[in-house]
Amino acid sequence: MRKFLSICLCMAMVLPVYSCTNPEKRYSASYTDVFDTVVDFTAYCSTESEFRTVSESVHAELVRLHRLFDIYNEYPGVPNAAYINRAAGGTAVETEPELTELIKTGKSFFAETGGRLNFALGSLLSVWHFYRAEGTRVPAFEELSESAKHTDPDKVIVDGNTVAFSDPLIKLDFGAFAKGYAAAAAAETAKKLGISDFALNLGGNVVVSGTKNGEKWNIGVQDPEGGILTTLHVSGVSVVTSGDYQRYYEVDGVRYHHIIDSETLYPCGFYRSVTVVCADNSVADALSTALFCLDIESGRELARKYSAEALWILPSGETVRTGGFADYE
Amino acid sequence: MNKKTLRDIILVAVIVVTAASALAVINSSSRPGTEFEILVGGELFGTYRLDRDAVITVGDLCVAEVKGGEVFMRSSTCANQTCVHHRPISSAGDPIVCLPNSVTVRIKGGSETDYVV
Repeated sequence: MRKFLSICLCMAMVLPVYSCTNPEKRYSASYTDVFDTVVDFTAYCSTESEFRTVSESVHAELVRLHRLFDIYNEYPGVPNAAYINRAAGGTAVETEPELTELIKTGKSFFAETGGRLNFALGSLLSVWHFYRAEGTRVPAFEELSESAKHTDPDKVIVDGNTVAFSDPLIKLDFGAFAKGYAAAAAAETAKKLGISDFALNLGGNVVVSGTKNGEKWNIGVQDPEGGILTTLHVSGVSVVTSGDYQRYYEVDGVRYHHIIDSETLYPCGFYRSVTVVCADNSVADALSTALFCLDIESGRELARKYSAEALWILPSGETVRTGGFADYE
Repeated sequence: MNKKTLRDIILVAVIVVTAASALAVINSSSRPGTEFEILVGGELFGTYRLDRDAVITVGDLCVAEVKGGEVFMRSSTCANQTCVHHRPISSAGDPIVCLPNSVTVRIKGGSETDYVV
């Protein structure tokens, strides 16, 4: 009896130790200097110095793309979105191939979403941005409709590496998918450095690759009323949520959030949040915004087009899922 | 009681304690967030409890408040006020970040959820 118990005790003591001796360890790093959010990078690496090398490269790629897509600040020697917004109304300006690629992606999203996702909405969004920062007033419809006259993506003309606006008051705003594009690009950077098991989170835009010691990654979906509504078990996909609780302000008890319907010119009011799971992060990012402003059936159709799965949380708290979403839960 | 039986009892007691402590470790690592931390410039400013209402002044940068199991940014000296407009948080891995002041408030959590979207 004692022998048996002794063996049990030895096994009980050895097992946890054995399970921790996997050659790859989990490391994490956080950054707060890009994309107006907190960036978390977690990866399984052999050594801490290997992780440092990878996380610094991931961070450098995010800094580069943040500067390129920034619509608020210009940087010396970077022909970025802010520079284009300032200069492309007068004459064609030369920029980076990645920015012209992003504009072309934006034009394609505009066509595919029936205009719900518009990268040329900058003049309208800047009005809302101003009032949100002020936090006490709601813009008048006249001011919004005046700015909305300058949001036609066809008036953004790309020729090689140059961009010109045929409407000088048009403004680019890649807010709906720039983070997704950057997350996907930074994930590629990690993969090129030989890291296969990692997760990257750009403030709610998550890319996961591989596993954590053989287990899938667990991504919680925020319950708008607090806590986690459901947890997704995923590998090799992107998960993005757009929600009315992420960025907003209140006037006279009414909440005005940051996802603006290009038709009504006011915040979209169908849902509390939409979560999208699909292969590509920039698509997941764009779809979560587009679906937020579409009825469920049109949203389902759009999700199907991109082989994406979606979860809608309605103001009543009710949830709606595409057919394959539950496979991740 | 003979010596042999006493040793058996000790052995069983050791097994029970080992099992109980292992269970405690598993439980504590999967519990939802009950603490949060504030980082300034990536460095830890402090760790606080979520179950105790409090007002925390972070230098001359901002003021965080804990109320009813949630934490939110009550005020901030930053220009954009994004952090003040962020909803109160209570889930592990869910942060409020003030980029201009480089302040991050995040719920500490178990290993069950890697990230929250």
